[in-house]
Amino acid sequence: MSLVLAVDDTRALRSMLADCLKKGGHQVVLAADGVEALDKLRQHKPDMVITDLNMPRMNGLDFIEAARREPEGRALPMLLLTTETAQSLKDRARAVKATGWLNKPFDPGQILSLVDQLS
Amino acid sequence: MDDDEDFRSLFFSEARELLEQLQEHLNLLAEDAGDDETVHAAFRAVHSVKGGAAAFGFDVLIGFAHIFETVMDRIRSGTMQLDGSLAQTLLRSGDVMQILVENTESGSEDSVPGMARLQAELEALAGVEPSAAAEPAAGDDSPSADSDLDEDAVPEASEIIVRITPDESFAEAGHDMVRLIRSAREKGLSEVHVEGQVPPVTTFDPRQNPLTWELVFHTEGPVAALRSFFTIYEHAAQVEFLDSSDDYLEEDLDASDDSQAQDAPAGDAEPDTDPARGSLAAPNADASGESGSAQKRGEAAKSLRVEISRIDRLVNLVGEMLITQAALGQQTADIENREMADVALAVDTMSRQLRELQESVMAIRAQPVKSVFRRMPRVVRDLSEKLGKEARLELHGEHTEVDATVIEELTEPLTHMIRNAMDHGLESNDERDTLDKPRVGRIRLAAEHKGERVIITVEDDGRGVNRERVFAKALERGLVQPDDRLSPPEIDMLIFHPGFSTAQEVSSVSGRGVGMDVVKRKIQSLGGRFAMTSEPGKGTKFVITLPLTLAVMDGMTVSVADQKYILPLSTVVEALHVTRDNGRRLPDGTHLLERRGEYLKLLSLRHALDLPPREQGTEMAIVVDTETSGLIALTVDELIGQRQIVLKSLEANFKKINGISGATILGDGQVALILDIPALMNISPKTGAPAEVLH
Repeated sequence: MSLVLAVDDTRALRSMLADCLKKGGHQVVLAADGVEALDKLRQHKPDMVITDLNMPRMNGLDFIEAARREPEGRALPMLLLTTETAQSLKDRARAVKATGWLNKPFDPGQILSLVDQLS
Repeated sequence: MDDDEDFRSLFFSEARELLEQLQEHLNLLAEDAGDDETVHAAFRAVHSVKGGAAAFGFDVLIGFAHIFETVMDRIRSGTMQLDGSLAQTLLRSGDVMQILVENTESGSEDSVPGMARLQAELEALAGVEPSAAAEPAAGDDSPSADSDLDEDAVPEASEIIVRITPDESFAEAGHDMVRLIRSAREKGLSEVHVEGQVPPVTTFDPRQNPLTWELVFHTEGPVAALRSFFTIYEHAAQVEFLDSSDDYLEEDLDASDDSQAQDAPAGDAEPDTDPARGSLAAPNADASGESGSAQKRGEAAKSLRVEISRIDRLVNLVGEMLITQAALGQQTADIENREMADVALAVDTMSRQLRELQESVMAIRAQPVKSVFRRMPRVVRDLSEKLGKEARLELHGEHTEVDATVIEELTEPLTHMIRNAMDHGLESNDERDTLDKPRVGRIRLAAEHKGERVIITVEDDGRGVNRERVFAKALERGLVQPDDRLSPPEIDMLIFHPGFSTAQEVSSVSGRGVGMDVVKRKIQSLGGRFAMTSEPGKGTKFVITLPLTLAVMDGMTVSVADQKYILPLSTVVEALHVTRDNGRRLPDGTHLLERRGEYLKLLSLRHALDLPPREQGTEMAIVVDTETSGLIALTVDELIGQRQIVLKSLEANFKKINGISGATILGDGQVALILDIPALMNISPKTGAPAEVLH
């Protein structure tokens, strides 16, 4: 069982993710944007992060970049879950040391097996 | 997921909200009043709806949202210039999105009128191939791990070797070889070999000394499952599948062929395969999606979405408590006993606290009128096009808050008034030119608080009411007599007579058989007042005064034949004694009341309510404003006083009774009916001309 920080500014997505993870036996901490996620990261020290890309205040890429500088985030598996597909963004994801890139719509089975695998 | 439905409805309610915001942003852009932030916010709204739709696989919606988003993206990146016609296209796209969301929610397969053309237009703007863009954005090219699984035959238990060489970024990207190996055990990992020179632990640095790990799997599962297991590592490591025994495996692994360039230095992290399993060829590149949502930030952190029915329950409960409290107050009011004084004091305190509680609960339901106001620019724009009349709509006081129940009811009357102003109020642009008026007509929609009420004004700078035509029309309809002498305001009031319409021909805009009388009645049913002033050549002004809430109102309690009735305080003008001096009776039986030299029609409530006439004692007359037919006086037995009452629907608890708008429970537990004065006037025998003509 892992503690997963799920970050998405869309409430429906956040709830779906949380539900999916909880059904997989994980604990979930939610955040609606990068700033909140950074807070939650320091506070809860999750085992893994799944984050949206486009979000208000701080987007997923900036969040990952910032999180990598935190002790809690340095070696943390952090997945981007987004509808974006541009290669430039994927390159940037790599540059900020995102662990992986997933496209919405997400497949609950896939998410769960990745959480099991990576955390 | 069994909570699917919940998520769906959450998505739809969120999407509706987003699209409303989108509309607002697009309106600003169309008026050239937006800035970069507005463009960003509009983009985000479309993007978020698309994201949500993608989660549920609503393909048609995704497809449209995608192309819409692409165009928005080009605008915000500055590759496309936003002009008037583009803004119109965006507005129409917003409309289509709205319909698409509605259709998707109701499961309707109906095609959206004009959508195909609009989509083609957007595609042209975005510079994409029509056919490609018509595909759902996330649909065509997302070979998920599962689809691979389905296609692949399950091979016999076979040996598969995977060589993985972490890049220097492997650990930094949150990967961990120990975790990988641990997880791989569940996939049938049986052996692990390490290749490479391992230096002494003291100087070991995985970045400088890349090791290659050879993982040997014995698995009965499909190869694709293993492939999908390793996909996540592909952008931080060279992953290579080695198995000569399986032909299809080679083919399957074409994608990672170039990673066989084994000796590539660890520093060269050339991306070979897409780390995404579901990749698609969407052109929306964006790394700065966080902009344009300063307000959204506040909302997300500080607001809570609650079903309105829950709040209604709360409001109701508070209402009941007010009644109980009133009863308690009545019981303790005349306590003089010293020992009981504390009780009376406590009841007093409670009553104050209850009032505060009620205010707090009402504040929850308060919503800015913005949600209604922001639909109006649309109405004006559409009519501008239809009528060929340019007009400018000014909105003021959009943040004025009103009870949610009032807000819902406001859209229709406001729309009607705006239509009326556009159609009848404003002159054509050319006509305005000749009149030396600004060419573009102006309509002002404003809201403000005044005490316990909210005042909404709709004002235009058009031609004003054409009194000659109104009078002629009223004559034609038999509403007035040729020799009637009406003051200008009285002529104006004729517009509100049921069925009155000044449009010479029924126009498609405002002459839909619905007159201003309907607007007025609607406002009255909300407990509001309605007034109009007009100046020929200068314009017309409608003023609506509404209570802040519909759940509680101030009422005047009167007694008639030992029964208590409530008159809405907002309609009460004054109270008088009926004496032999001020009462008059006309030969036709009409009773009149003289009030400072003016005669008002006197209506006996006993008569109207079909109660026996009073045998003795003086009567009180209450002068009320009927809104439609000026002032009249109602006779009652006794005036009890003014109090706050909680409205209860009679229809919901009993049945609709003409002349009664609802009921309330008094402090002593008695039920009192609330009188609907305009309706009462209609059921009472009509005599003579309207009251206000009797001077």
